[in-house]
Amino acid sequence: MSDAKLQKILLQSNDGVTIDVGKSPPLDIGFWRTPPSLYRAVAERSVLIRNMLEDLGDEGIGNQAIPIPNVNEAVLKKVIEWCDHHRNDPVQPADEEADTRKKTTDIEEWDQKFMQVDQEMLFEVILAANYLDIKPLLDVGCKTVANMIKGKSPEEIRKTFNITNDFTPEEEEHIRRENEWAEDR
Amino acid sequence: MARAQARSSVDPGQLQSENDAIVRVTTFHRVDGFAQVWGYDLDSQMPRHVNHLYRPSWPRPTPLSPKGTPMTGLGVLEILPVEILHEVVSQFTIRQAMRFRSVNHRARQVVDNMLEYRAVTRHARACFEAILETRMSDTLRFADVFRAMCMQQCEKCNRAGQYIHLPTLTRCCLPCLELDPSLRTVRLSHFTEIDQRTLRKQVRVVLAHPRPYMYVYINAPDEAKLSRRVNMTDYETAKEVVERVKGTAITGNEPQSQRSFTVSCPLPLYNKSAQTSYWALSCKGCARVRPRQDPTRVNEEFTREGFLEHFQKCEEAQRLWAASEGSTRDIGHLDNYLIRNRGLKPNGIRI
Repeated sequence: MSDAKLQKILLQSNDGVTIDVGKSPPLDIGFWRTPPSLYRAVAERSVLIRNMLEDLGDEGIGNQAIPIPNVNEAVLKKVIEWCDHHRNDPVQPADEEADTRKKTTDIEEWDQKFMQVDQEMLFEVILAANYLDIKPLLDVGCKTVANMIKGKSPEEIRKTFNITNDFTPEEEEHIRRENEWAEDR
Repeated sequence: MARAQARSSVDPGQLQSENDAIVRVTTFHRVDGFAQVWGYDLDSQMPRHVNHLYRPSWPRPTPLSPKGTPMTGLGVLEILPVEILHEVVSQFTIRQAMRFRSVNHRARQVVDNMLEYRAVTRHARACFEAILETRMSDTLRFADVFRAMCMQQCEKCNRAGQYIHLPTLTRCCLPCLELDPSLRTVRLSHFTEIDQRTLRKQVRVVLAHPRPYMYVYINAPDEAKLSRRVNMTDYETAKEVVERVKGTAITGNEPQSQRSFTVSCPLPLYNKSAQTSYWALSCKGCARVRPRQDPTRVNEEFTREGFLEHFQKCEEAQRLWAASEGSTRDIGHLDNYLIRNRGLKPNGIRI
């Protein structure tokens, strides 16, 4: 095993905390700990970080923390946790031809549990995934938000996301007629 | 150099308009096939005991008052940048999207701006209504329908296909729908080996109901007895699921494929770049001569590109085009009498 593979990868969140990709808490439990040779695979789930690591070169990686200015510590740890679990996933082609025979709104069980966080955190994770360019995580996040409104009536959706209703009574009536047709089939 | 090129080739704009004229003069649109699939209204010919199953078509949504940017935002969702918001909305199933539209003006705007929503509701109304009516709106997204819409050719035989087989979302043509074994459709209760609820979770279920064609066509005599709605699904997918769950191979007792008509509906050919749609084209020239010489050829349907290729070979179509003198003369008297009398078009069609 070469030295390069044992190098630490340091990320710095916007609140100034330096996080070692191999040492963030969820990875540190007993023998489940990620082997050091895989740190890089974990970090490279993010296209942004992969490009940065390439720019830094092998010497630079261990010494220098990579600043991630848009993401705070808690969220960054959460994202690393996801990347660690999915480090072996094959990289999806950009224009994937989804198998339309399957239902597409399904989320993996692990991801579902991972996404059981409060709303604020969920949105932060989505924003971080967008910033760090982690397409699969972004997809999971979007699907989770979509699932949050599953089976909810418009009134319940408004309550969930704190949305104000700005329809006039006449418009309400019009919409009610339109929905009547689309529902109750 | 540039001048030489310009002289040798025809101006592309002029060629385009000439092709348009050729297509307009020498093709027609067969609609008799529509009578066999969903999205066809035959109120007058419908037996009274299934009358209650019929509903009027979707009221076209009229635009609501504010035209510009709505003042009220989307609450917590406003944290997300617009492109992510669109990503979220495109993950909604059709039913979710329709409900989300009635949250407030801004939500309505976000859904209405979605390319897939606009394309499906504007160009594929029959398909959209069929999806809502068959209760597939809980599992399908607009993007799934849009994917099939953007294809022009039948996925089974590469000819023009103006129908969609709903359980597999396959674009197909009428002959394939009738004869292709991979589009076989069965009732959900066909597989007695497995609990229906388990099966339901893993396959697309289409809640079909007996359509008028069952009384008009003798293709499906056993279906004609039905007067209630039936859960249908794709045979191949369901078979795979049952084999996986049960661990045994299923042999024999293969259903006939003609039930696939009950779960299919018309889907126009959609040109993604121009955002326009059209129905499959049939050649007037072929309709003039082929029925006598080769009855199978009259059924051939083309995409626009396919037809222009066919036009180069079809002498009869070229004769018609010459007779029209560059689409300046009416050539109705030269048409096949069935086209001329609109005999191929059933009354009361709703597309």
